[in-house]
Amino acid sequence: MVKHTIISAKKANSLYWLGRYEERVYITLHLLRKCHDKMIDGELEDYWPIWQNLDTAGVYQTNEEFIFGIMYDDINPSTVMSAQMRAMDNAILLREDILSETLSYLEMSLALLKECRNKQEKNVICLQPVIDWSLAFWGSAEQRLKNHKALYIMMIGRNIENLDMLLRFDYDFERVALAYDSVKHYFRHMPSIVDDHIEEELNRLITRERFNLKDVEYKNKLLKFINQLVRV
Amino acid sequence: MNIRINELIDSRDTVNKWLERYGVRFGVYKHGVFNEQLFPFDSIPRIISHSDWSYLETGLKQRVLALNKFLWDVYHDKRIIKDGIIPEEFVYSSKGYMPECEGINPTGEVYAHIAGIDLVEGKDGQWYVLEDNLRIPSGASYPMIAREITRKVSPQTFTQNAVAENRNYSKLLATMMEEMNNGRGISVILTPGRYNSAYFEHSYFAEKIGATLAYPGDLFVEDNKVYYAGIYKEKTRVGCIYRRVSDEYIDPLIFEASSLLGIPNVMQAYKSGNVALINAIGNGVADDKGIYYFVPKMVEYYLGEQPILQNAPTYLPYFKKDYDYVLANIQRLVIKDVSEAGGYGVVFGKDLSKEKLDELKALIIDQPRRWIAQEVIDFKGLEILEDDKPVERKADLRAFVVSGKETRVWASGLTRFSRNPDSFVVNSSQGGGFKDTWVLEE
Repeated sequence: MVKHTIISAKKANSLYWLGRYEERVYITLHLLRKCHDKMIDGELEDYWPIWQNLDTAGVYQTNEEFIFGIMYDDINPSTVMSAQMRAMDNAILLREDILSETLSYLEMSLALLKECRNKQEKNVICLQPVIDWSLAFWGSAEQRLKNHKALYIMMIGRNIENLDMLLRFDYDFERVALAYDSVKHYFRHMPSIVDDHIEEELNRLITRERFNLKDVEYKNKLLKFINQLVRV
Repeated sequence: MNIRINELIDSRDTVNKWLERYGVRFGVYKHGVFNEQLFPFDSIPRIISHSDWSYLETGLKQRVLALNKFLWDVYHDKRIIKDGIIPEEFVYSSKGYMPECEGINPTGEVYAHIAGIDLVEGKDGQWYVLEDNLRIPSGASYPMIAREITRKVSPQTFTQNAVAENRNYSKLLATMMEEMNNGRGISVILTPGRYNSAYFEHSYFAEKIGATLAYPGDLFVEDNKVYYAGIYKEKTRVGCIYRRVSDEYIDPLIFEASSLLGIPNVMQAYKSGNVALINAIGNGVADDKGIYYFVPKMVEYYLGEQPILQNAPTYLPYFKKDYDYVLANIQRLVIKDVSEAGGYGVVFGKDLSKEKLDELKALIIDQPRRWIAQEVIDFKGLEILEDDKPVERKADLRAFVVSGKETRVWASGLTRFSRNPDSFVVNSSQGGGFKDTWVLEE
C-alpha cells in the first residue's frame, strides 16, 4: 500500500511534542546526574540553582525528597516520570509512523520508571537504561521514519527543547547559538512550520553583542519567543 | 507433530515481557474510568489439525457468503422476507437495521469485508458457531503479534512444527482494502482515538498494512468525496475507510447528531460510490442475536447448499413452540439479550435463584423478541498455565474471514479463554486471556 506524506494537524502536534518531551527526559536525567554528584559532598549553593531552574525549589524539602520526586513524581511537570509519560502520550498516537520498534524504547523506559518507583529505588544510576533507550529511540526514529517531514517536525521539537533548557540553565553564547543553528537547520526543510516574525526577532536577539542571560527581561523574552516559534 | 511443550511453558514470561514492550494492551472502562491493561497471554497454543481446518475454512466461507447475500437482499429486494424465510419483524425491529442504507450499493456488493465468527468445539469434536460479528470485529492483532514474538523467543518450536503463517493477516486486509478502494485515493483506518478499547489494534494494523491512521477531524467531505486534511489545508483523496467507529457515530448528519467521532456527509459520499466503507454500514442487522437463528436457512436459501457449520441449538421465544420450551426449561438454558454484546446480557439459568428465574421469565413473556435461548454446549476446555501448572479452561475461537473480490479465511484466529474455572465467558472485557491459534499445514 502506498503511504502518502501529508501530515494532519493532530499528527504534527504529536510529533512536535514527542520530540520535546523525549528530549526533556534525556536532559533532566543529565542534569539530575550532575546535581546528584554535587549533592554527595557539596554545599547547598552548588546544587540549589539546578533545583531552581527545574522549578522544584520549594516543592521538595530534603535532598532525598528532591531526588525521589524529580525521578518519579507524576504530578510535577518538571520530573523525568512526567516527561516520559507525556512523551508516551504523544508517541502512542504515532505508531504507524515511528513503528512499534521505535515505540518500544519508550514503553520500556516507562515500565522501568514505574518498576523503580515501586521498588523505591533512590539511586539515579537505576535509570541509566532510560538514557540508553532514549538514544536508541532517536536512532531508531531516524532510521525507520520514512516520512521525512514527520522526522523533521520531531527533530524541531527536540532541538527547541534543547534550546529552551540551555537558556533556562544559563549556558554560554556558543552553546546557545549552536543549538539555535540546529533548530534553523530543520526549519530549512519545513519553512511553513515557522512563525517568520518571531524568527526575525530571535535572529536579532541571539547575537554575541546582545547575548546576556543575566538580564532577566532579555532571558524571558528569548524563552517566550522560542516557545512560540513553531506553529503546530 | 512435535510440540516442544516445555519450551513453550518456559517462554511464557518472556513472551509477556515482549508484549509489554510492544504495548499490547486493551482498554477497559470501569465506573467511567479508562484503564489500559495487558491482555494475558497463555503460551500453549490452540492447535487445529489440517483436516479440521479444511472443514472450518469451507464452512466459514459458505456462511460469510450467505450473510453477505442476506445483507444485499435486506437493503434491496427483500426476497428472503417476501418468501417467508425470515419474519419481517426480526429484520425491521433489529437495532442493527439502518433504513438509511436502503438501496446503497457497496463496492463489489460486499458488506461484511471482515467477519469475526465465534466458534466453540464440543467435547465430541463438533464445531458450533456461537455468534457472527459483522460490524467491527476485533482481536486479530493479538495472535498476530504473539506469533511474531513466540517465533523470536522459541524458534525451534516453529522449526519442528509445520504451522501455517498468521502474520499475513495484514496482507489479507491490505489486498481487500486495495480492491475496495479501486484506485480512488488513499486507504485509511478511522479510529475513535486512543481511549477506545481496541486502540492498540487500530494503530498496529495501520503500521502493518501501511495505511494512515485517521482520527476524528482528520477527514472531511467536499463535493461528495472524502479527503484527508493536512496541517496546511492540503488535502488527499480517500478511497477506502476501514472504520473502527460504530454505525451510529459515523455521520452526525444522518445518525447521532452529537457524534464528534464521525465524518459529516460521509454517507452521501458512500452512497455516491466515491468511498468504500469497511465494514459497510447497516451490517448489525445480520449479526443480531435473533437473526443468528436464521443463518443456516440463509445458506440454504441463497446458496442452495446444506450449511456446513452448525449453530448451537437455539430457541426463539418469538415462536410459540420455542416460547413454551424456553419457559419450561429455562433453568438449564443460556439466555441472551439480543441487544447486548461483549459477553454482557448473557445469563445461565443454572446460576439463577428461583426469584431471579421468575423475573427473567417475566421479561421473556413481556418481550419475547428481545431474547434467545440456547442449549449449554459442553465445549472442550483447553490447557492453560495457572501458577506454572496446566489446568483446563473453557475457550472459544474467533475466526476471521476477509472478503474483497474473493472471500479468504485467515489460517489462525483469536482463541480466548476464561480464567475462571467455573465460567464459560471468555471475553477480554470480562478478564479472559488469549492464546495463539495454530493451523497445522499437514
